[in-house]
Amino acid sequence: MQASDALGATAVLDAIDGGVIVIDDAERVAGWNRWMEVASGFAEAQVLGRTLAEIFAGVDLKRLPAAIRAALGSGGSAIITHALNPALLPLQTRSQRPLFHDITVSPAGSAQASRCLVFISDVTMATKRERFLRLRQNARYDAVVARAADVILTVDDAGVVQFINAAGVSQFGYPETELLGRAAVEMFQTRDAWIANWRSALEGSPFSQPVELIAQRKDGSASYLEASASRWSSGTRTFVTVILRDINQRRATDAALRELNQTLEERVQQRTAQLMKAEETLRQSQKMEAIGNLTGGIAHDFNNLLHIIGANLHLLKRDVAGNEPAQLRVQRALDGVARSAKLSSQLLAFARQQPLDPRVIHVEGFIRDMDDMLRKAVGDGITIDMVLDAGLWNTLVDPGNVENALLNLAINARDAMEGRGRLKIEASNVNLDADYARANPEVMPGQYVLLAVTDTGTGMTAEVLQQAFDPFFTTKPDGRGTGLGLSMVYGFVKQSGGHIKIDSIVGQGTCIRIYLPRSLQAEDHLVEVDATPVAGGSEMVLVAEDDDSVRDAVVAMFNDLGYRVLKARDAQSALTIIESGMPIDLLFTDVVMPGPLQSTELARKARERMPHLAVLFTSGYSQNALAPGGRLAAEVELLSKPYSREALARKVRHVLTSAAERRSRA
Amino acid sequence: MTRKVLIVDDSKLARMAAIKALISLHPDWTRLEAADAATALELVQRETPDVALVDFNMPGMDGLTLAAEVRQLDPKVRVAVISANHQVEVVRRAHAAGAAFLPKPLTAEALREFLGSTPGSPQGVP
Amino acid sequence: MTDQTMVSLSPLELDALTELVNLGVGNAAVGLREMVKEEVLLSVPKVAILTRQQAIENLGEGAVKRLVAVHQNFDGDIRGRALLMFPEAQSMELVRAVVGGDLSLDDLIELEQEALAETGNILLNGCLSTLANSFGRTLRVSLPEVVHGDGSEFFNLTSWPRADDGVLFIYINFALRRGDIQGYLAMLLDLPSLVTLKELLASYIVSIGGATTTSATNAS
Repeated sequence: MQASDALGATAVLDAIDGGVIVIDDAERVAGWNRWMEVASGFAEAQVLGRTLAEIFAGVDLKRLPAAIRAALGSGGSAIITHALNPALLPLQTRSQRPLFHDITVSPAGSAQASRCLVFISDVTMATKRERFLRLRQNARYDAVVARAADVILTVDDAGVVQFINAAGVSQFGYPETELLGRAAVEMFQTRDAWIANWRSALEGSPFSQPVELIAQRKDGSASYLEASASRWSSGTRTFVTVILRDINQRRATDAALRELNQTLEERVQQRTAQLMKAEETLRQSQKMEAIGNLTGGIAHDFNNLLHIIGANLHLLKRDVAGNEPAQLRVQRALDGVARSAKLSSQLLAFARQQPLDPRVIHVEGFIRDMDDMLRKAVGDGITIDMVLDAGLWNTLVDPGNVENALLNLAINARDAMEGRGRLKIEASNVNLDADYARANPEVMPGQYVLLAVTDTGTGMTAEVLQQAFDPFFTTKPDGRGTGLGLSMVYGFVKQSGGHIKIDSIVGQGTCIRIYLPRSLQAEDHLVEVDATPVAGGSEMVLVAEDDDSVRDAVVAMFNDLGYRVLKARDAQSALTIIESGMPIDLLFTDVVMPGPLQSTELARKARERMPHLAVLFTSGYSQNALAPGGRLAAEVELLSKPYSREALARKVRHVLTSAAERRSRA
Repeated sequence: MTRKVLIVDDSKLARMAAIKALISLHPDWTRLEAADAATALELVQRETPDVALVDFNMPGMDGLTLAAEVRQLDPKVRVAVISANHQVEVVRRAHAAGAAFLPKPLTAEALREFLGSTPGSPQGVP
Repeated sequence: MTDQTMVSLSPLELDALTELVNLGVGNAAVGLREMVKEEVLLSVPKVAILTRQQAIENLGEGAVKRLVAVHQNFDGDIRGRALLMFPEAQSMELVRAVVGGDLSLDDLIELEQEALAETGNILLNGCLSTLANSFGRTLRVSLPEVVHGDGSEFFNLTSWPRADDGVLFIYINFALRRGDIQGYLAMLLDLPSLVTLKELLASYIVSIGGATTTSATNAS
């Protein structure tokens, strides 16, 4: 019989998209279809009558021969899959790539003629598709699971670990091989919680909230994890995947938070106390400033008025020469003016609006010079100790004010001690650091010269301390004290950029500390205010003053002194006069005048024209025009209102002489 | 010369099959039967057989262990383990126990070969 | 369920059947060993002929309900179905044993169908072909199919809705690379097939050595 007609359906077999091999009962090929020819490269004629072992010489056919025998002998069918037996036969696809195939072996033929059919099906496409799907799935998987920071653990329905990601390996500390196939419960300290969690997920009712678990690492240490579980099925198998989040950090943070909360109340109290203190300080200084502004305003107006009164009184005094009673009256009036002026000056000092004439002084020498004056001021019943450090720093300060301040303090001390006791005056270099500044908010940290005046008097109560610097506040019985002393000191100290502090214990005494900022400049030599008799002159003076009465008075005084006088009512007109070329020797101008041109500008322009021009400023309210802090620019002289005729004469003389000296040197 | 052959198998049918094969070769030899290991060991001691044919897959003590026991009891006995389960490991272990391995169902040829091994060799019956 | 219509075997027939199954399983072990490349340990099979109901109960005990089975039909002088069944939970272990332990869970799941199919195929063929050869008959055995379910589903797969069809129930324990996997072999036979089986067994016994007493010292 023709081999190709063995089954009588050659055409059909050749049309089948799969390999058909007919094997006879001698295990030899009796049929070989077209597909097989293409896939194997062997034509039917080459293979007929041969065994598969002969055809595929050298190929390990594994179960195939036995399966063929079984099919022929006892009628068994077999399947040999590609999955488990890859590339059993050397077959190729039409594009000559390896052909993945499943093989089935089935009995065929009849009782008389036993045959076996080997069928080969191409699973290349399916395999490849699966492979791509898997690669894609793996990629997705890797992106999420492999790299997840959380532990991802899969157990089967017996709780045995089937999968664990890299985060899990590092979390538990075991190598992967030791984790797979292991009952997951072994890795937890909180076994019951673990079991309840994954079982409930397995049964389809997972816990809605994550469960806190404690895991046991390989090294024995405990690790806190938060677990959420869910089940999934693959085919017929059900698995539970658990995500375990490391909450060790969170627990530590929570613990820290709890501790912070406990101390929170404490810290709040501390801060509140600090705040209240700062507030108090602020209130105090704001109060002082308010009062200052008020008194400053009053004092300024007062000064101007006093000036008018005083000037006119001077003139009147001359008019009534010869009339003794009248002269006496006028003198008394003048004394009153002087005292009023002093009062006003004290008020201004408090208001920190007193123009300063600061010099760089070495405090030690300065205080020693005051020794006599102080002793006279406090009287015999009080011993004065002076403890002055050597090597004291210089300080830039108006010496007149320092003198005043010390005197005031000494007198207060005397009154507090009721004439008997000890007064200590100290001077030293101090460093006020950041901590001090924090405790005393208005202080700038830095280097200071400290002047301290300590007495053994009655001391001040807390209420008194509060009001000590207030103007017009006095503990002295009525009439005895103006209440301006300490406020004046306070004003001058503040204006000098310093700091003043009172410490007092009732019944023991008081210590007042004045801190003045250190100056790195060399000491100025104080020009002695000379007490030479008043002398006039004949120089030409230009008076610029906006107030008519004041101007008249001033002009009169100058005339009285013998000077020739030109008048201007504001800076602009004064400048016009100067530019007209008049030979002026002295420009006498109020600092604050209405008009577009400032008096300082006027002075500058005037100096441009006449470099050796003497300039004398006057003001009762000078803070505005001058540099902040009330300091005058160098080479600018100031005569503060109200001033006496003598003061005017001296100052004018002094200024003119200095200018003349400069001229002659140039 | 007659020999004594012990046949150990929990299946009566299997014993019958073995006996049938034996009869076809040596009808005069004495045949002993045991259905379990305990009986087998007892017979070895009492009857001192020359040959033992032991089924591998038995409940209780399996054939391989029994083979080792028999050899210890009486090293002169020639033992063959019989089983359809001719995995290479099993065959190896049989040899390690000093026994031959014969596949089931036992054929006369296989038996003849086993019995008729060259004299002097450890597996030959003189 | 009465079993007056059930075919019962004599002790010797049962013995013969057991021995034949033993042979079959032994052959199957060889085949299986080639797959797993490691020794396969098989227990002594326990054989019984049960009614379907009894068989279902047998499977149902031990609280293992969900099973996976490899199913093959056979036809010839006797016809029926052969099933290799084991608990679903163990199928992954079987796959792992057969395919190798280094694969990921995904890989195992993917190969599960093929691995079970081939393993079942080998075991069932081993038994069936041994029976056929011993009886000197041919059976036509179909290709394997993997199915999931429980006992009642498997034993009601039959297209013969006869309640008293017999089940040849074989219990084997086989141990593979790691872990024991307990499986069951079952062959569902219709009544005529059971009758034929009994006859075949009788002939087999005779062919071996006769149904009468043996001529040797019997110490069993």
